[in-house]
Amino acid sequence: MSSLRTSYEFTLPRGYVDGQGRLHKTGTMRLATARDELEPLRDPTVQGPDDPRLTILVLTRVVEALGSLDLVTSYDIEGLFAVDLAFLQDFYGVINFGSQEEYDALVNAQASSALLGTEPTQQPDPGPRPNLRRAVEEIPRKAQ
Amino acid sequence: MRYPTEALWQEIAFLAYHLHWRMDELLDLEHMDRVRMVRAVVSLNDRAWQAVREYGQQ
Repeated sequence: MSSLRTSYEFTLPRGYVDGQGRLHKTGTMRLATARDELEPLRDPTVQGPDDPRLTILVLTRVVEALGSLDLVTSYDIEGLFAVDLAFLQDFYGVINFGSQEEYDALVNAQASSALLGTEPTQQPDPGPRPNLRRAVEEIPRKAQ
Repeated sequence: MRYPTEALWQEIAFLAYHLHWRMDELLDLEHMDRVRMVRAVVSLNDRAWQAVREYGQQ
């Protein structure tokens, strides 16, 4: 457990509706570690490195809280609306690998779309997603 | 969304080789903390090799 562990608050664009019909919109996500990405690769339900379920398992590990849920499970993450799952994927990329500007852009875009008060399907295209891989590609290759 | 798996293992091996930390500690570094540590060790290595070269030229 890192002594520097950091968490970020988020608000889902649409919100998770649980089995009792309760809506959960806000939550926290902690920064990810190598363990968060390597252990799901060993999950027996994962077919391979390109299995989309890997994303679900990684997000389940790093989403620490969601609304009033006692525990966030992979069942909950799988049950998210597509727009909320896409947001969490972007959020993961920005807080782990993005710049402050990319973080601000994502949060502001999410906040302004929420103010429209329309269904997610009627919202305008928020434009291209920030290039989250840039920070990853800057890693010094001398490490090899 | 995920960090390239092969790069993860290479960075962990690099830090293990130079720092001799326990595997659990390396696995639990947040991504950018791990990258910062790799860069710092690369920098220390460069300085050490520079000192060796300068010593050899004397």
